[in-house]
Amino acid sequence: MKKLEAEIPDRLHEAMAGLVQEGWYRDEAELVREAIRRFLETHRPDLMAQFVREDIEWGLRGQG
Amino acid sequence: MAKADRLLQVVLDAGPLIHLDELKQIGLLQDFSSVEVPDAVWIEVERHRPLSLASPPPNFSRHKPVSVFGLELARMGSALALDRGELEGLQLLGALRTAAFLTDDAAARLAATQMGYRVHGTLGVVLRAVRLQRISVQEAEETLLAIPRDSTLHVRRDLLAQAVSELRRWPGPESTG
Repeated sequence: MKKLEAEIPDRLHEAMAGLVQEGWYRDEAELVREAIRRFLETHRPDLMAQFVREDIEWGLRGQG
Repeated sequence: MAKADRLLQVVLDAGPLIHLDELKQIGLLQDFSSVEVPDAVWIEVERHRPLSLASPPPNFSRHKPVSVFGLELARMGSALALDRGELEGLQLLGALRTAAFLTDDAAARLAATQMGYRVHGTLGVVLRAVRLQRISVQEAEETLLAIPRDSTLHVRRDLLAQAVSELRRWPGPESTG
């Protein structure tokens, strides 16, 4: 396991703390791990590369 | 310039509006028949780039806030951690049916694609402007090369180089038929 440090805007931290207080997550660390996991699932390099290639194709050779 | 190309209606996420403004190419959004802006997106952009919406182009429409989302959309939003602007944008796409979604967020793009909508990003809008002869190849190349320096849009260097390479090899508007 690796420990990371990050500065979090107050507004975001308040929202995080609210979710933990309501019982949706055990603690803030669990919430952060889940958030990062979800982000990585939807931001896979191959997926993002595909999106860029689709933009190139539509931009130069597409319709509309 | 083919008239049909101007008829594309789009729903706008915050990313392309912010990035095009950073690149001084917000005028390219006038080449859509209408630009539908969800209320949450308008508010987000006003917070980050207040001047960009100070005098919105005539084809911009700001929509009312959404209070209730469809069940499928709510589930998709939760699974992909979409923000309110993206959710409102996807809801608006459902109502407009033939509009395309402009977003640079990978999760929002994935959601829109899975829901069957057309999706394009800032890079595509800049390159489309060349196809429509709105800007020159040179201006488009300068805009693409300015992305890492002048904008908060993150594109992997090799992909940006690929876009520039294809732009340089583009044979011209006649080739698109």
